Amino acid sequence: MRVLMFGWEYPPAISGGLGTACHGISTGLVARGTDLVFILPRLDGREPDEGVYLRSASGTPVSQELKKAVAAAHSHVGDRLNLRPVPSRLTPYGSQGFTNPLKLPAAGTSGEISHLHGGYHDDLMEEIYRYADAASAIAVEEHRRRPADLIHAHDWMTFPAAIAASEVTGLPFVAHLHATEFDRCGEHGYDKIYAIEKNGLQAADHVIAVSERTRQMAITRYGVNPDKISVVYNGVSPLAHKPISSVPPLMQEEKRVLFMGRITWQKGPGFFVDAARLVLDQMPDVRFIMAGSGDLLKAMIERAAALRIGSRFHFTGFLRGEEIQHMYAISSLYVMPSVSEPFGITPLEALQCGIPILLSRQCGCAEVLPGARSMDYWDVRGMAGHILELLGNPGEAARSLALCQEELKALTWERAVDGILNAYEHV
Amino acid sequence: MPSICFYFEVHQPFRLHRFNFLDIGSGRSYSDVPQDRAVMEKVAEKCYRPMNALLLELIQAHGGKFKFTFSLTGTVIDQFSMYAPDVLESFQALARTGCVEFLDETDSHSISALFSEEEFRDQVSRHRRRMEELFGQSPKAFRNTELIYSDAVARMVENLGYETMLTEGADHILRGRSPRHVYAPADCQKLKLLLKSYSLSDDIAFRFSNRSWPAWPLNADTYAGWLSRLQGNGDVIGLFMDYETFGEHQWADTGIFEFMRALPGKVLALPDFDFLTVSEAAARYPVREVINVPAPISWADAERDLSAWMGNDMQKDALEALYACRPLVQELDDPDTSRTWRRLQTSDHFYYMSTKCASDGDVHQYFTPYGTPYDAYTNFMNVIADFRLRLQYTLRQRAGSARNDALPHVSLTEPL
Repeated sequence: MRVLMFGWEYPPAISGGLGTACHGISTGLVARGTDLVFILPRLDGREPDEGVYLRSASGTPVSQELKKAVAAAHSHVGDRLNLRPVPSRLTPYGSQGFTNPLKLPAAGTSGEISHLHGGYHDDLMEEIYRYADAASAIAVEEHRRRPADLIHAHDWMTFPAAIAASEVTGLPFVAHLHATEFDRCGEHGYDKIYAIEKNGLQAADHVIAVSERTRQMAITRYGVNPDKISVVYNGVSPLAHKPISSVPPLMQEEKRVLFMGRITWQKGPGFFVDAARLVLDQMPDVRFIMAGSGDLLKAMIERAAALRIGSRFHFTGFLRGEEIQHMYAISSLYVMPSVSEPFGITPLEALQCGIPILLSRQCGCAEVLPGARSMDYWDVRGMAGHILELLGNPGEAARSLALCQEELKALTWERAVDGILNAYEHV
Repeated sequence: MPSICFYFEVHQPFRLHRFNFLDIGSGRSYSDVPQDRAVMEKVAEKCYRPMNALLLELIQAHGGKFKFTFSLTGTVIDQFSMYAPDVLESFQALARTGCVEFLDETDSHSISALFSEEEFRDQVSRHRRRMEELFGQSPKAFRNTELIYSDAVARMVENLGYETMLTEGADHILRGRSPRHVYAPADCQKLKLLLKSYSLSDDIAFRFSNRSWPAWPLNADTYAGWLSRLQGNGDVIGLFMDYETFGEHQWADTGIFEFMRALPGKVLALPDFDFLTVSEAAARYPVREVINVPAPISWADAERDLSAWMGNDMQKDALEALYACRPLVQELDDPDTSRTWRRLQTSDHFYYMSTKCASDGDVHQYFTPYGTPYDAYTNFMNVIADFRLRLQYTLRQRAGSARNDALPHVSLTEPL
């Protein structure tokens, strides 16, 4: 099995769960003997060397001929999708494609060199199309070098690339749905991103959703044929070593409740701040930590100040590497109050570090962690009640932790890779 | 006979370094010593040394007719002692001329007058002792931090025995009256009030180097001309400003030193003009009227109110959390802890948290060591969290109920 994988994030340069998942999936596939080429917008040179063949789209020469082919593919797929609202590809190997690798357009020893930043920034929208050109060129080159079996693309940033590369090479395309615009922004998403997601999901030969919740989202919001969606839950990589909890001396007699993630609408940080006020009314010696950064950070700081809890509610900014493990390790409880979480890997990491978790029912991972306490994200009183019970009743916290840790044993990337290989069978 | 009252405020805060969540309860200190030292060395070189030398020269040149008033905060005095002792000596040399009056204020440049009269009195008496020790003066005049003033603050100041107090000549308290008279606070028996003539003060302090200002470049002749037109129109012209105006806010290349070198001669050449210290002016001129100030005012920002320090929830939360520590500080009654507590009260910490935009936001941004007001707040709250934990721990330890081994390496000595 040879897979050309398109992704936007890879450790250590990650902004969230997407990069972590891409890492777990690709190392898992390689361990299973898959011949994998992982194409990123750019490499920053600090990526781990674990047998995954990483290639940078940035710096790739793209011929005029290929550019034209990519543009034609986009317009062709766009036309096709507009004509048929719920299409499934009737000719999976695409009559428009170049089924014989020897007839592929010249990808690139000459031509314009594409430069990409990677990450997320103001000209992301333009960059994903430059990525589409360059990633297609790499796909053509790799497919010519050794024929590949399929293209596997992670989230909307890589869908235009996958559509084009699939059309140009004739390879089938599996879309992996880690998050949708509805998860990130609710009803106020960006319609252009929605259109890219919809085109990608409908053009894909098969879709992998990270939870049943996300599968339903693909069906109801994007009109994807239910028969072509597999649910594959994410996993978590085993810890190299369990982090040592080193709580500063004067904080040892207090309990600490952790929120860690992007401070954005999707993650429900405001509900956490409000719940903190209710908890502190009952249990004044608790400390709350909001780790991460995002567009709502200032609003959350102001909210904590307005509630007069700033001396018990702390903001750490964006954490990386060992700081993250350390923060889990010194916490008494991890809360994920997401408004819409397709899966949510961080609660799994918290469990690995031995701390109990509290989830919103809108988290996909709650489907596989029934031992975890949960409430609806908007139920601030319920959230405060759970926090008070778990902090005030160590026996109950330990019981919930033990159940979750048992469930965690099944949540490995090996199992996720089984699911992915099964999904590949559909194309 | 109009008198010019120059009053210069001399202040530097003790700044906090980055104090992260994981520093809470770890025993780490708060004070950004390298930054404080660097700022002091820079400002001493650009402002304190050259300006003190110039003022001494002017006093000598004019045979004692050039007079003015200083107020030095306790925090700047501490920093002079640590980083620039020669500057402190040059202030003492100015004191010995007899032409310089030193005011009292809260020792740590705090806004304690708004939170705790007891704390306010402690800080003022601490400052009074310093003035006696350093400059051989027992101040009879008072300026509250940032010229914060209200009827209630005036009563507290009168009860402390002061005869004169300074505040802002804010339009909304004057209501058409001139700032150039001596006034009396409401509900006080003896205390007199001298007001800042903010327009003439800000011409020097803020507008001097502004090239889009029609009066730029301002010279001493022009300025003395403006003063001369006030002849017969008021008794006292209060030119109150930060001392760091000279050489620091207005750099030497703006011509600010040449301006000040020339100004006393130009003013003294005007018929009937002279220079007085604030207490001399208050003694010479009659009280014009009573001024009512029920809501506090200050000299900061366009609003001239408390919004520079207490304008948003971050500032209010920080101040409430800080003053909530007072009973514990009192109970512990430890000199080092009390000093840290006072230094945390310095108004600059709250000024950095201001979220005002427009022109005043620029002024806040000029002074802040933080990237944003949000950083200033979250950092301060980490420090307050730590300070409170230290207080509680030390009190428990003293009561014999804390494990002594919990803190092998935490020392409360000089955390700030």
